[in-house]
Amino acid sequence: MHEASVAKDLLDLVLAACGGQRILRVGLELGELSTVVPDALRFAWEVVPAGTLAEGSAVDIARIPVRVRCPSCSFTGHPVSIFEGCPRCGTISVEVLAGRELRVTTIEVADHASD
Amino acid sequence: MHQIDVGSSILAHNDALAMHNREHFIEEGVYVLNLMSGPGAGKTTILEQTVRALSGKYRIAVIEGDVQTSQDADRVAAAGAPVIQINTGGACHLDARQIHDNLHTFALDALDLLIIENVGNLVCPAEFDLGEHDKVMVLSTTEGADKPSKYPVMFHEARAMLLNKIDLLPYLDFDTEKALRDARALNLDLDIFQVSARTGAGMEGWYAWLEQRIAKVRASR
Repeated sequence: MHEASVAKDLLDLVLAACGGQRILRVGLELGELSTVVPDALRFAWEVVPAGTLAEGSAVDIARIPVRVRCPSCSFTGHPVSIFEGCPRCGTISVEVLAGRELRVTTIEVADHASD
Repeated sequence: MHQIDVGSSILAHNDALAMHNREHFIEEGVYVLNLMSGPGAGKTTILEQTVRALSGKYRIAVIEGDVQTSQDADRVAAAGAPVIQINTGGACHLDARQIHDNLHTFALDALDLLIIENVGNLVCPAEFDLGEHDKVMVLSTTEGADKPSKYPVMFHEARAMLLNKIDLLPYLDFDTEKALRDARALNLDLDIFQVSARTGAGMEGWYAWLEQRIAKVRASR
């Protein structure tokens, strides 16, 4: 439900990074544990950038799978489910290494206004 | 057409403001708590009781986040704490900017404990750092034991959890063991208190935990 405010922060970031050029594409990393819903973010992105250099730009969302580390046996990898604990030794509480991402990786910009 | 590397968290701006808030809190030696739960879990009742129990001993203030109305703020004020109401006007969470804008309403150095009651929501508040020392979750027995597994991020971020409304357990099918197991699976260091804010059962453990956290922040001022 907060995708519109996330989209607004995203817009500020890409406008600051684009060097005054028109933005064609925005690349994001979104962890599987992030609370942001990709479709809702894409929908917000159709509206939020209106009237800016990012208007009409596409969003590419790469989902980042959850990766954990077991504090007991040092297993590192993807859990079956975060609630099943460590897939090797069964320890309940594991440390989350990846899966919370909400990042802009790259943007594609036009070289000229006519691109 | 060419590509520009950005490599930045989308919430970088919020996180920077939260860091600024945190520096203030540390400098002034006030312990700050971000209290989060779904709607109706009992955050405000817990706050009222906490203010009543501890305000003789500590200087407490509250920031109330709600979509609309000042009903919660009025209840907390009646319990005896100065309170600021932030109406988000539809937004489902508080962000660091709103806290930042209200930072200087209270004399922070004259406070021991600042409690921020977030908007009742099990999804969005988890993503937005406010600059607090700790996030504390409230889960109530009437919501069902499946909530930690359905809304994992909130429980993953919390430092402590209150399982509220335990006085209703005889009337419910709530699986306490499952709820606590799932919450712990998400969170190695979660301190859990089983309480009824209404009857006061179990609240002493929560107050003792709070007092420890307050003392720790004071000592490092």
